[in-house]
Amino acid sequence: MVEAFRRELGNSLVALAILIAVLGVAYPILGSIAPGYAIYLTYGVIWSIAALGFNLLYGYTGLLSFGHATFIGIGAYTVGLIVKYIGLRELEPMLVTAMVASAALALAVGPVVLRYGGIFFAIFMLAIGQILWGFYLKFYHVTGGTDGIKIGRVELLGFDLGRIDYLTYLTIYHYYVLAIAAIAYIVMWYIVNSPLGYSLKAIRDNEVRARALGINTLQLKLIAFTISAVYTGLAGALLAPLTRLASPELAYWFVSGKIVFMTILGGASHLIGPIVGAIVYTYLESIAMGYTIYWYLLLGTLIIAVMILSPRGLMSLVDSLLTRARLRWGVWQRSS
Amino acid sequence: MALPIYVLDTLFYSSLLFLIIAGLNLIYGILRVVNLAHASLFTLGAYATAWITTSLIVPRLGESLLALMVLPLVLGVILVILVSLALVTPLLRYSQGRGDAFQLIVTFGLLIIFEDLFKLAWGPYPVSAYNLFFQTGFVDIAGLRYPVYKLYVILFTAILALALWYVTYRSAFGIVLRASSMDPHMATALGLNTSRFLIIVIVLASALAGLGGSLYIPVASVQLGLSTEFLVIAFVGMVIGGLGSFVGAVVGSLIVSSLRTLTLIVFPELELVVLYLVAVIVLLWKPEGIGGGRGW
Amino acid sequence: MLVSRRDFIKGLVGGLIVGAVAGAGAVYVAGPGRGEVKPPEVGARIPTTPLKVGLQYMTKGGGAAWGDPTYKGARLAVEEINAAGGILGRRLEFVERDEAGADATKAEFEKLITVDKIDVHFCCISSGNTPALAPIAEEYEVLTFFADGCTDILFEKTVTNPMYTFRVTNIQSADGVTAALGAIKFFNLMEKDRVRVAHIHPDYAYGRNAYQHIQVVFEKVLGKDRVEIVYEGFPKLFGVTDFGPFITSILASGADVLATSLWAADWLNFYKQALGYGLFKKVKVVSTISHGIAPQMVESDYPEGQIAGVHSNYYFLYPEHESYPLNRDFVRRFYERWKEYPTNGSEGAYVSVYLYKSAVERAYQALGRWPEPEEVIPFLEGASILGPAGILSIRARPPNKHQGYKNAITGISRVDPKLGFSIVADPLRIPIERITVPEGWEGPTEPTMTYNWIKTTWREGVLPI
Repeated sequence: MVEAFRRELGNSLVALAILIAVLGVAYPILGSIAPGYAIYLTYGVIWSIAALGFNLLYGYTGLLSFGHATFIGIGAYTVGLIVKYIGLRELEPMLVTAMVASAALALAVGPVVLRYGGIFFAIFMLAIGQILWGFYLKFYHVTGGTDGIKIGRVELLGFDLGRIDYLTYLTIYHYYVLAIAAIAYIVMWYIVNSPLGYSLKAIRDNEVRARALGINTLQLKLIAFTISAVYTGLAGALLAPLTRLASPELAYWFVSGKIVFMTILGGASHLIGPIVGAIVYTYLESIAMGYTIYWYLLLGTLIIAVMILSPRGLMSLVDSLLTRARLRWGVWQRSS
Repeated sequence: MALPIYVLDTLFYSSLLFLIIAGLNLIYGILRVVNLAHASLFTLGAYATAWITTSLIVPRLGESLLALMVLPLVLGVILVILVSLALVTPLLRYSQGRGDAFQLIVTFGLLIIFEDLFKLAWGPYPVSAYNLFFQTGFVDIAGLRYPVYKLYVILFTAILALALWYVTYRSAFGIVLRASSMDPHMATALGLNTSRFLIIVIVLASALAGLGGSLYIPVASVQLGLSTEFLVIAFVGMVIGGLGSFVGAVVGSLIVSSLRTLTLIVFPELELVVLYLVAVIVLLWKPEGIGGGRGW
Repeated sequence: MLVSRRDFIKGLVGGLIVGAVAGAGAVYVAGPGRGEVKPPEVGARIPTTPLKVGLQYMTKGGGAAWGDPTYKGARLAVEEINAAGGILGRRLEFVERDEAGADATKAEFEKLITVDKIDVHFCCISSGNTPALAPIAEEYEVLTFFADGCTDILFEKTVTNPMYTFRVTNIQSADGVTAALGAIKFFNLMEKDRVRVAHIHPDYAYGRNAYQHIQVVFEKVLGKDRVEIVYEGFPKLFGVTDFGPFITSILASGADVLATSLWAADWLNFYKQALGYGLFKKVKVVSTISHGIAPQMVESDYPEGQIAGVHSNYYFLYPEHESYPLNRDFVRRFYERWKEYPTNGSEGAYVSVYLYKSAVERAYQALGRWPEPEEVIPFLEGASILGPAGILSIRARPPNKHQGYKNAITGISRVDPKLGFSIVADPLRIPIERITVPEGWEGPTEPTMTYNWIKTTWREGVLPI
């Protein structure tokens, strides 16, 4: 699927800025309706970081990983294990460690795994994710097995937030996450608009030709893979204090599937697509769960419907609407 | 001392896996579609056969061997085929050529739909129909009792595998199968990959999975979540054996089953991890799989 | 806000205790038509809006086999209460949600509290979820009753001083201890020179907990030198369907007793396959939970004479219906409503709803108006309720504050020709205080306090029942 990356709304810094602002303003608005709605926004933002990382590999480099839950697990368990064994409470060093650990794994398996593309790569990542999941499940004494590792309140930027009331803590955490997400979004914008980004797109479009042009495809793929891992690992680490638990389910392949779906739901060919997709999906899943006990049935049907009706994602829909509007505007302008 | 038993158990489990993986490989080899909902048809076969046995067959025909062996199997597989035609086939056909991501997501949606459908149809409790297992009795092997039923399954599947081999390598249909999987574009250009042919392939694959479930149920119970357990292991076998390959299905199921028995005895803690590690190692060493090559 | 509320409670407790003592009558009773407190007609200071009741339980995967009957118990109670006019005239409206993975369960719980605005919550099968939800319930100050999720960790480590969270089913450690004591008694293990024990448990917290507690009891009561572990297997929960290799290994090990906490499909598969291999002719089986699933699902081919555990809590036949109409009528109503027999989860959830109702009514009698959640708490701590299983008491002081205790029960499997399925016969009723860490005891919490209490205080070679 060769898609032209036009310079339009979905890729611009302006769109990012607007999105970040919306996510900041929406929180108190949702919160005034009910805190339960607001907390899903925080989850959505965290997943958007993961989806954005995933999409660097998928949308921009053309590599589908069906095992990105691996890095979510690494992120979450880094936090859990640090809390459990070192007793640290400050989140920042935990985030950094999680990102380093994710990068380490990516650099370790990357050189080998990245020689393959297509379905092989997808299943490779699935297998690696399942290996780690198996470890989390089996090494009960270290990881707590199915019960996971409990994580209490964390300290943000050195502030001890143990005393403040729960809802305030959640609010502060949301803006903390949003700030980190904003940095992550902007960095990603920079990456995809840099020479690296263009090379990746070249690899995606035609790897043989890219290599012929002198691009060191393996090295670049490794860089993209590592960045992707770091983003998703960061998301996993941000997730853990919110769910208060590092549990094996976070590393199960279902989560990998969700990340893929979120990205595609939003639109893999736009920068902000995965962000939009992650937030929309988080609410979609929650609405399905709240609507009926048979929410698997509902969600599965929705997933299939979305893929059939809008395979290029929501941002593509927005695109075509805007294009049509622009055409109408152009016609109107000329006729007047 | 218990070695013959372990070997037989390995063969039994690999028989079930083979039936699932063969179907996965047919669909991948010929349609190039990855089907995450395939094991759900296995589960459906199990549920359907159990229900047919306990609600329809036993009350009317008693527990005669013939009634238990033939009718539930046949009726169960027919049900699976019908459901596949209604729900699975259209989706798989639609997914053709739409990319791996599309297929994985859409079949994932189907997988979770099936889970809730199973609950609606058969409730949350495990469902079983051990009648045949007990009717066929037990034999003495190396001083230990072994269920005759498992021997039956091993034999049945071996014969079926042979039949499949024959069809693949000695029949006209088999030629088309192999050609289509080796080079789908060429096959289409030659007018082979007709719609009817592809549907037959999907039906065949579904029937094999459903058959697996039917054979499985007399010796185990089925409950919600079974699909996922079998799916991941089937995928590992698919990868180890060789994607889209008949020989790969045989090889993959045997290897995975052997590994599983081995780790259950020797390193039970590592059971899960070993399987995936081996998959990774095989993918690295021989990505087309140990038994695989080009297509079916 | 939080601080002032807690001070308020301290001041309130004094006044309420006086009120409670003054208005004290019988122990609460679970069931319809048990002396509901009628609200006064005019100016009642009771909201007329319905009371929103959250119900969260497992609906997917293997856990659904447990979640479903638990839900049915709670729902029956809600329907009965509504038919009798509700709690102080307020109708109960329940909001059901799935209990999925930990993060989803928590998020849904928060949604239930903040969006659906539930007044009280009944939940949880998984022992991973109860420690995850309890802190949330405490943060939002919502009364929450757990009908399972029995892990000892909950009140021993995670929330050691709960205010709003309560648990109504017997604590997890009781399962292993009950099973072991049952085995010792019924299999006359004290008379044997050596007992070779094989273990097979699902590889997660429940299985490990059962293993540890069965072992510690065997070693204490029989003597460490007399007990030999000849086999240990920890198959992944619902991950193994062909237990052939396990059964073969167990037979090869020469075990006398097989201790197990496998449940639902795992146990169904295991025992059926084991029947084929002739395991039960060579080995005696002690299970913590074989008959804890929906009673009618344990088929009549289940081998007789094995220890049939019921998650140590409740089996629908006991207390015997002839002498205990409360149980007889509960089972009858449950069966009429759901066409199946209640499990321990059903009874637990049912009783927890009535426990809440009774506490609210008593609080109303003391205060003269609908009570706030924290005003109900004193009427739950130390309270007892008479339920179909017998008396349930809620502990008021650590360790395991707010844990519900009732006498443990196990028995021998027998086929009942009239019912057509395998039942628990020859019930062994164990006073719960004999087998669980008592109030006020201090000691290490790893792996559980009960484990350490048994290890350090039980006398070697003495059967404590």
